[in-house]
Amino acid sequence: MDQLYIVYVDDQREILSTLEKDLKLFEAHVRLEACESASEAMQLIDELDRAGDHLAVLISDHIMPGQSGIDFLTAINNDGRFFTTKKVLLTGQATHKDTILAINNARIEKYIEKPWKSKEFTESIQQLLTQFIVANGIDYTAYQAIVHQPTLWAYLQKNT
Amino acid sequence: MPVSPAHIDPDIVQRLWAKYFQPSARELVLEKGEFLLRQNQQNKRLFLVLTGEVAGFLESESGNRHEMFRSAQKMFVGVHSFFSESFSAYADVIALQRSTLSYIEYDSFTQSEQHTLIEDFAPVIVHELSARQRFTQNMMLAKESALKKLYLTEKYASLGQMAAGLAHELNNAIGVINGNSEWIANEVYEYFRNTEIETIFSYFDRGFKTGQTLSSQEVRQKTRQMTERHKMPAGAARKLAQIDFDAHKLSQFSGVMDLDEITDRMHHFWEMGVAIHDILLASKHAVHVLQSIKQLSVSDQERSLLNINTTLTEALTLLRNATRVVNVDFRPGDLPELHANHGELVQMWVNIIKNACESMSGAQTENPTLFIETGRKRNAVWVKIANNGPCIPKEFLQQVFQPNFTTKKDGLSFGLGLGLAIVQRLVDSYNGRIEVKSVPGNTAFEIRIPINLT
Repeated sequence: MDQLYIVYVDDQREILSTLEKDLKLFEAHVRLEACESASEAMQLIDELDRAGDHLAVLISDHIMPGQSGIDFLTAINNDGRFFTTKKVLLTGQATHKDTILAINNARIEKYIEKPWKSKEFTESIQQLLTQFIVANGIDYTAYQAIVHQPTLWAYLQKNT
Repeated sequence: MPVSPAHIDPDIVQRLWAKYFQPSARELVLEKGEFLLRQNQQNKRLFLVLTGEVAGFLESESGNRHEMFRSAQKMFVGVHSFFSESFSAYADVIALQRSTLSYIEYDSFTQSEQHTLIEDFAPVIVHELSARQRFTQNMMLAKESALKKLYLTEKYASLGQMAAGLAHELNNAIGVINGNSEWIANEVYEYFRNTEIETIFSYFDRGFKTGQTLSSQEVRQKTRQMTERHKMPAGAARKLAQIDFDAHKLSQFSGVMDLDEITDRMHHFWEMGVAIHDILLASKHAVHVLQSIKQLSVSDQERSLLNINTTLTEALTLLRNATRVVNVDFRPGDLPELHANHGELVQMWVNIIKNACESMSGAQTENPTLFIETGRKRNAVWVKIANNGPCIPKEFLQQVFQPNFTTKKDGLSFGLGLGLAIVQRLVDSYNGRIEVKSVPGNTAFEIRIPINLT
């Protein structure tokens, strides 16, 4: 119950294991799950939702066999259960049209281009995770070690 | 540029011949290459070609000869000088083969005869005028298409140069990365082998040699087993699952050391091994792509003996990203070696395969599959590249090989419309043939290249 999840989807294992290293700092507080396809990810987040856990951040590649990243993120965007989930598109190959779709239909919070810079990536995820925590009224003190301090500060100043 | 002779109504010729040529006809015979007239030479004769063929040439300032007209049997020569009363040949007229001509002399007619002559010859004169006009038009069109071709060749050449420049720019960087990553990988490997205990090193070794072998789903399954059966915290269970740890060995560790600590250590070393494994793989891939780009550069036109199957494999590697989302069914046949340019062939396959992939992904074809087959038939090698995507509309089939024809006008994934035109040009340069057949669910390009037996 109430476990936070970061799920990342890419059909290339090398990319998944690189992402995993960049996300390591969250490891102790958030469950990290790698998926090799959109359908695998869908199954996983169904399960975690049923268990009463939260999908905080969803990171997806775009060009994958089966469902594309943007279609997948669009489906998640239209799924009431994941209304507050922060969606990230991580891709090197989106066309202009894809990008428009990603913003308008999938309502992604962040577009990260491959190859990405580890530090910037981690900070982005930290920000998004923090936004998710405060937006959902989750006790942020339990995540003190990994929250993005400026984001948290901004929130606290506005709300106290 | 040869121009096919335009014929005037034979009845008119017959009539004129009977009236003017037959009574006083004089004949002359020219051997092939012999001059009938020279530019600016005086000429008061009107010729009728009886057999053979003559052609008029103008010499340009640069000394090149340009064909201006061509007259075959039953056609007149000298119409301009005769009827314009300039009496001066405006072109060199040369026999293209042994030819017989009949002619009349202007001065042999009386003034009144000359007038009826002009009236009678009016259709011939008009015909001549319009023929010259048509000829100029054809020349213009030919020039235009030549210019277009030149423009395309240049466009293509500059793309090739850009690619070559890019490859050159990346060459050193990737060279350094590749060389040093191999070196450092071996150093690290040796270092760990000498300093770490066997258990820990074995996980580094496995990650190093095979990379990540378990799928994300398998890892999740194993994690679940570990947490359920062995009552392990999720974090540690996931690490053990990732390194494919044999749960039976758990008992060996119990009590000996802190399980968490050794789990972390094994996982860490495995992860380092996998990272190095992936770096080496990625850098090899980068080197390979770079080599392929270099081979594509147009400056290299050297031909050597090669196997077509190798060039197909190479094209598939180049297009690894595009072909990742489709099934590739490659059935290389037993092929003799061919005298060809490596880069040109790779380019051909890349262009066709890329189109196939884009058409399938554009139409979201279910179970998209690329079929590639090669074989030998008599003195030719054939390559068939097919896909189960949407078909090419009938009205486009004729046009797909034309330069500037493209259906890809979508956002950034636009096409230059050069792909298949380049393929056609290259196939032509090998005296080969390319055919396309397309029905819904099967579009196939078949290329035949004759085996050069010399």
